[in-house]
Amino acid sequence: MLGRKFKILKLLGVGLILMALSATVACGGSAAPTASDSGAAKDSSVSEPKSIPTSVPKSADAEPASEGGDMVISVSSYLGFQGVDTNISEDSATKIYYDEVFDYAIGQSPDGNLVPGFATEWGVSDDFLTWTFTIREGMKFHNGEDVTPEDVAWTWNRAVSPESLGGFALEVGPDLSSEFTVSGNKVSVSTTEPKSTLPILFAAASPPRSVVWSQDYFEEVGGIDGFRDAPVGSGPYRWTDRVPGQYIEFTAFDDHYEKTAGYEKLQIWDVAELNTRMAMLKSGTADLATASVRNVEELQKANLQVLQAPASNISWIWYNYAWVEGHPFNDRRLREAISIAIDRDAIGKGLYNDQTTPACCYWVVQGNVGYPGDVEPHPYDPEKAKALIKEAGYEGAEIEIMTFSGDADFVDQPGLSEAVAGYLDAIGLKTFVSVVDGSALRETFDNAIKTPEQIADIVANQPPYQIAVRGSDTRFHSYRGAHIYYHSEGRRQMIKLPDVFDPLLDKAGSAFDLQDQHDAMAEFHRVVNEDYWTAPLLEAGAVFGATDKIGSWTPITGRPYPHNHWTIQP
Amino acid sequence: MLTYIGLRIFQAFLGLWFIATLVFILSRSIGDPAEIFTARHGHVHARELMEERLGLDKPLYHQYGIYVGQLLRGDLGKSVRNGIPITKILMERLPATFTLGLFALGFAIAFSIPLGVLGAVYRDTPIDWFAKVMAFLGQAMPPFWLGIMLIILFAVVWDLVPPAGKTGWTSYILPGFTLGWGVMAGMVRLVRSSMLDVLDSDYVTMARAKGVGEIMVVSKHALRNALIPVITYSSLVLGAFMNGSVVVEQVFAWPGIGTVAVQSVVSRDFPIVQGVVIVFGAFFIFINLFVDILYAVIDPRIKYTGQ
Repeated sequence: MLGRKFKILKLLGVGLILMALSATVACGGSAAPTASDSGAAKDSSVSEPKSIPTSVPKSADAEPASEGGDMVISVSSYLGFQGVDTNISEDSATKIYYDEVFDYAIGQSPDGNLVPGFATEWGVSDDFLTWTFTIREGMKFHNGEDVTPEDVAWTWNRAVSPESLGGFALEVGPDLSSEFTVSGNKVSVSTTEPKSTLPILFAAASPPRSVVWSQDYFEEVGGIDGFRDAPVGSGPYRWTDRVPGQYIEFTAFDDHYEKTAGYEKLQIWDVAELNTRMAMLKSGTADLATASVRNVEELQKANLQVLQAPASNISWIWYNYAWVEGHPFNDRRLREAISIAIDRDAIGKGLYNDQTTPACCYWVVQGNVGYPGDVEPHPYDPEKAKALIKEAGYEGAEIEIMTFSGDADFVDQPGLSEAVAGYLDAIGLKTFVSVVDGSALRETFDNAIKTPEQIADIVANQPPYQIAVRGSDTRFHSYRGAHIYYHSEGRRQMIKLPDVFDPLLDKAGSAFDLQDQHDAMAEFHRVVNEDYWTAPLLEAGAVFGATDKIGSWTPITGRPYPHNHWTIQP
Repeated sequence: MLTYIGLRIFQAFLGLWFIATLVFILSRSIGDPAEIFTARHGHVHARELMEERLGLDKPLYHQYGIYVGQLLRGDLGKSVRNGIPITKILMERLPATFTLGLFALGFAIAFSIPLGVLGAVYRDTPIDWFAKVMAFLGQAMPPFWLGIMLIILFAVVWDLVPPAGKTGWTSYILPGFTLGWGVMAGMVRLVRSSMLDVLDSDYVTMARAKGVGEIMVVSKHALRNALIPVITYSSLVLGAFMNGSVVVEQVFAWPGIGTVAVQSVVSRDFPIVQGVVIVFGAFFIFINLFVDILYAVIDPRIKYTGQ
């Protein structure tokens, strides 16, 4: 009797535990644990969530705190913080901390325009072949040495040397016909042909470019190995310590020519997991952290500040081998059908809490150079899409949607891909989603390295026909991204239509007036949009969570990661 | 004994050489490593430069000779992404992985042995039932979810421990518990079943018949023999821990070797991938060597080869 009662109790107990476990696992399986009952509010008297600023926070003209204090920033970098030498390769993880330690010749204002850095001015000769940069005087390195034009020339010559695989070498180097030379307080270089977009490449932040190192210090510490352990720059923050795999620590540099850091000590933590970054914010371990459009409500409920840098991310669809005659994607009807089958508004509401807007153009948003302004996003017309599929004879065509995980470029690309797959299935296509890593995706769509025979062989063995759903941070000047993927001499050549795109891009690349560059790039984007060479999807702002320790911050448009840390003020 | 140890050490180095050679062959049979890494650059010059850096422009036998020579000197090469010596990267990260692994294993052993023993001794009682439930929960709860729940509860709500990073002894608690919880579950079952086998054996019955107290029977006579499979399991677990738990390191931003492995795969930094595989293999080999030697200490009945 006792044994039976015990068995029944045992069964009931197991059942209760199973039910409790199922409930908790179900809750844990959702996008993010809510913080509604976390009790994380440090100030229990605050009963209402704080208002959410939807525009860029107030300017860093505010008086810096002379007392300083510490600030901790939590950010995700799937590559880890290890790089210092951008001669080695394009280590894009360095963009998160590089511009605190090093100055650039040309910088960017908050709205993305080019502004003087340690080059007070720059210009091109009458024949458009020689660029000259005037180097600011009175600048100091962190070790007290003067920043000289010789340091600038040495740094840049090293960066474009034949042994370099960095971005400077690969994008700037091939166009140079001379070394960087010094004359007085100026540094000059000649190009093989007129290159109007050179300053843009100098100002690019991803990966970092036109910095200046101290040649004397570099040689004193025995070269790159010594420099890497204790880098010395001229930026508003001085590198003081690095805990490998965890954080880098900086202290404010008081002798900067322009920038006054708001905090005495800054730590930038590498935290890959979004939930952990949220926990760091709520527990006060971090003061500023990368979040996403899906965390807005969670941050509000935890009485944290929600800061948004608008239009910082954009997503789109690429069609692979669309230029190959005979390939299905060479048929404009199929490309159009795929794009107009997608309800971008519904995806924004359902997947991103209505925090996105439909994008009109490939890799450019309002405010960027080249944004046409008169181009609408592709409409949502599933009936027309079905008719086009039928007319073109691609009912039941098998489409592989490739994407990669990781929120660095656009939030939840796999989820976005699944949503796209649903819409394409609804118009009669057969889709499946492949989530790969970013390198594999780029290699699949990188046609610069494939021979015509390889491409013909690949195309002959399809279906499935491959499209990519990918995202990126936006770029102030869309020329660079367009050139890489659409020009016949571009580094990746995702699409090879020299007769269509080379004239447009060459026009932008040779125009020395910013308005002319803008007009040429706008024309490029109109052509891409009208002929559906890509299917722009959504634009999103970058969302950051912050504690009350952050009074103001001035991010630069188009950068979805914490940066410009010197502008963070109490 | 010495012959046995010497032979096992020789076998260990033989195994290590085999792993290193396999890594060398595999890294060159999946395609041109230089092209794989520089494919995104789209320049022929970039590939040629990378080939020269990696020594791939030399004949294969020459490459192998350089490779083995470097390994014998402890040189695993340099990261192609940032130029840092791989040995340096691994040495920077190994202590974090090692200490966390020890903590997790210590937690798992500290909980699983008493639970397993009590479950076996008090079979089919609430104590046994509790041990089984703990084992069940340990295997059912995914570490990713468990880690985040623990962070929310103990770091955010109660503010008892740090939520992330390696910042002091308290920062070991959550990741150590998360990592050790699943292992503890398996160990509880193992200890319990092993104890049940031993408690039913003749020599234990004899000990009881002689009037030896139950505590002595369990702790001195039974437990020692029951621990042998646990030691084997622990060695495998420790080897796995040394290779880094990617999930736990990601959730807790733990600066260990698992994260390095993932980052190097994502960034196509194949020299690091190579170095990590060799180091991981070495861990398993030498941990197993240590365990084999430990067996002989614990159980003198184990005969050595040739004796």
